[in-house]
Amino acid sequence: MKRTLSALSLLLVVLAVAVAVAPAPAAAQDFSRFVVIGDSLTHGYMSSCVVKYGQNDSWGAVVARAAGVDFQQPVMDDPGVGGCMYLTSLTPSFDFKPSVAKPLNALLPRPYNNLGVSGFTVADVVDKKGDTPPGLTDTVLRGQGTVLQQATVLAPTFVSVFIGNNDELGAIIYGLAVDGVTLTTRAAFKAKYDTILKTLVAAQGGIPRGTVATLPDSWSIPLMTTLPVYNTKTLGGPVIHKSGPYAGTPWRYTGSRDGQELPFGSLINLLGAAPLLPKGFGVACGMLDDFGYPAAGPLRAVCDKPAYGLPEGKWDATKFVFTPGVVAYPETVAKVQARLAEFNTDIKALAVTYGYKVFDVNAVFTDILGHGRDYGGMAIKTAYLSGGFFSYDGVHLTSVGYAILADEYIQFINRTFVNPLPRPNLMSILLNGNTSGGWFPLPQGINLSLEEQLAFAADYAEKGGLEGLQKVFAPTIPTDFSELQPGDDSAPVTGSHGLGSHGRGSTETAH
Amino acid sequence: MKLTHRGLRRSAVLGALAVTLITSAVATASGFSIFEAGSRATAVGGAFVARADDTSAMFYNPAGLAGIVKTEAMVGITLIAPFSSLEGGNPYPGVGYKADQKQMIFFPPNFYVATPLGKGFTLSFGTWFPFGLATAWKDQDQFLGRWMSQRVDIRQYAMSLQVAAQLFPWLKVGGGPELRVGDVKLNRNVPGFNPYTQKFVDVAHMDLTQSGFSYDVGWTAGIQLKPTDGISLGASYHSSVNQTYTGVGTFSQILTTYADFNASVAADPRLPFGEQVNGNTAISFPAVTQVGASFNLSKCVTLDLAGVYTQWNSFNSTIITFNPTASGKQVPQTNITHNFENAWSFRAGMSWLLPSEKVELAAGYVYDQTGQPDSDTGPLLPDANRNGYSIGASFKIGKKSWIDFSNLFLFFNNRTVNGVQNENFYGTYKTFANLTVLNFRTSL
Repeated sequence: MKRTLSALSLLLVVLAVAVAVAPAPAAAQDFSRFVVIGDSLTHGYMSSCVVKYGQNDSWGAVVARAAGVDFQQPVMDDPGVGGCMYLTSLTPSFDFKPSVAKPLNALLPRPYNNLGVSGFTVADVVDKKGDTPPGLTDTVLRGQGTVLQQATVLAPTFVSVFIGNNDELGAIIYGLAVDGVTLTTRAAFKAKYDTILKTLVAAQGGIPRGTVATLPDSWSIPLMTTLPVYNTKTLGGPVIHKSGPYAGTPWRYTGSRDGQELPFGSLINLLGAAPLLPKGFGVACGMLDDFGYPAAGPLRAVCDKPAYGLPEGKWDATKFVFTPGVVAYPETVAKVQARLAEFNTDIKALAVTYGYKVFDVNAVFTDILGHGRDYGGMAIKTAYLSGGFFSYDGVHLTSVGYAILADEYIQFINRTFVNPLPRPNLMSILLNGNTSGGWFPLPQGINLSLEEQLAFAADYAEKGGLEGLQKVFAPTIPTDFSELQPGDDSAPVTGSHGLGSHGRGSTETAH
Repeated sequence: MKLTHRGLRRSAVLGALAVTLITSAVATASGFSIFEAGSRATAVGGAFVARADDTSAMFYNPAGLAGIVKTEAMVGITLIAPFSSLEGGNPYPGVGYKADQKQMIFFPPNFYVATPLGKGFTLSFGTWFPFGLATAWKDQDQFLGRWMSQRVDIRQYAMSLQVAAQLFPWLKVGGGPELRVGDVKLNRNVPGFNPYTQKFVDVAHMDLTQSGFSYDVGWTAGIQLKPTDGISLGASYHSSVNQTYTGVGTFSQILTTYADFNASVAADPRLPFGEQVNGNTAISFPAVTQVGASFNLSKCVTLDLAGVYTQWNSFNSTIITFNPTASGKQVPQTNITHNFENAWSFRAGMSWLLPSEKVELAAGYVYDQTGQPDSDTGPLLPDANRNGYSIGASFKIGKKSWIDFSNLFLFFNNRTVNGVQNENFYGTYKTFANLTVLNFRTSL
């Protein structure tokens, strides 16, 4: 009897110790107050604007639908804010809807669940309370404080942070990497990101519940990769070097640095270069010679001239004036690549520090770039216009692209957390363009006769078929870049060409 | 001339041979194999390798025909009626989506004749369908898997000339070459991303049809042992066959309302509208091994057991290669990854010869594993593990002929593909198939 009691006591002690030291079961994730923080990629920006057709299928909204939770957004009604692009021909040519702010959900008595703000940097999430004069930012913040403050008010049960793209994108698309001007310094980035996560953890009662996202490679976006460094426009197609060190290879556009051919590895901003090429920018005299161009032809007046080379960005440190360019030289690209790697390293490290899980968007985008995605035989690629992943502005995604991002995120959540979410239903988005019944009503194509269609096809094929998509755009792209204020070393240039306001970025009525 | 009973038998046999050459078939055993090559065998769940006591032994165990004393012939047909549907899953085609396969009935025939050569040797000739696949979806232009497959037909029939020999009273062996003849058809639509509407649309329809037939030669062998009266053991093997198909593809354009988009599609170097495209592919058909035992529980009751091992791992991928067209267009190579796995089926059956010896009743069961992984399960072939329940009856006509009837109720497990699928096409497939096998057999 004594022995039995002793054994029983020992067993009870052992059990008690086992319970005490056993790891607590992972808490199930709760999406009831799901909050997303980010920039235009979170806002639902596409084809140069913010409008309900895109916002209803922002990646956050798709995830929220899968989770079956309420998700409020600052949705804009037709025609949208920013000047929505729509395709008018496959040349390609575009037209723009007027930019008019008609919010559909402005009276929500609390912050939005979607706190993505187009054009925002990491610092903006912490510090910015609005635009001066009021702009797109205010349609999200509505004078209720910064993004971080509003997220705190919501006390999210699950938060997703995807911010930092605008801290380096400007260097690529404007063609110059200048710390504190077009490129946030590492220290400033890290400090603000740290503030964001520290504040969020506190808002979540000390228990981090959510994710942070790494940043995708900005140099891989179609805006910068569609127009090749080879001169395919000026003389109707590539002209081959007849002699010299590059004999046998096509002539490249010239750059503003020295009027000489751009080095391999340079990236050209498609929309930025579009209005310049018809004016003769980027022409090498040697190319004209190899082509057999007339000695008295008009291009002879501008060839090899630095002033007529495709411009890279310029920074006047004495006047604190930045002039955007359209070419990122290889060293600019390399500098951005290095900085992005640092940003992603710091994001991952801070996530570990504060307990958030890391959704590797960089890896996802890289994989999509290399392999695309296939759904039932529909292959989504990253090629401009024809691929389906990127929208008309070459930076932001289509609804298909955002839905794929949401699907990848849900799969990540299901691998990482306890309660799996159902994957989203992509049928409507793949086959209808989005869940809102499609983009703007579009003019139908011209009714060509069969003979005219065949002639068009023959002409199209002769000019390189689908390479015609790389030809110069017709409409003029505005270039109203803003100036930096002296001493502002943490805010890169975004202006009206930042990640979130491509094209006509104001909220005033246009047209 | 009055057609005699014997003449009727001969006419039926010869007519069946012609029909064998032209009719279609559909998969009922794992993957796209067809195991129902004889009615009595089907009645006992296909567990016929050890007994193999009619001319369908050419398929189940060539050794079974050794030692016959009279010429025997059998002709028959299998009526296959499959019913298959899909309930979609996320992300595509999405929860709430439903689609059905077209209602079709297939009737692969069979024909066997065996004649004794003396001294325990037998020569036999036969044809049957060892493999076949046909899936066709209703409303094919609206079906959400139409860019993977709208309709596919794979037919393979075998012609074999075999010799069997009774080496000892307890040992028989048999085997011979098999000529495999087959053809393939596939049609589907081709999608394109319309930059105007930013959604996917149909831009083309593709038809791939084989030119003529494809041939390859395999072989089969079998052994039958009778260690004691009332017990029979058997094993047989059909070799794998690699069949190469040459065919013609035709592409027809599906127009949108955007003229320049239509023109860009027409100019696409991968879509040769208005031209014939020569292409070729190869399909590896697996080796099949059967082992089994048959027990005479009494003079009238027999218990049959068998295991069938299909080496599906040879079915790795299907690569369709196209030649450049006259205009220089080049359809990209199509690579379909299958990665099938070897699979077993387990079969059992029991038959009872009634005291009159003019009626035999039988029943059986089969559990058949699929070799198809989730990653390959889709609209082209939605396979699954299945349980089959069979019943059958044979009736003697006159002194030398029998009519055999059997029915196999094949219940496929619901197959839910949710997580890994080569083309992210998810959902639950529900299938049932009913097979009725009819045979007329006689000795001449």
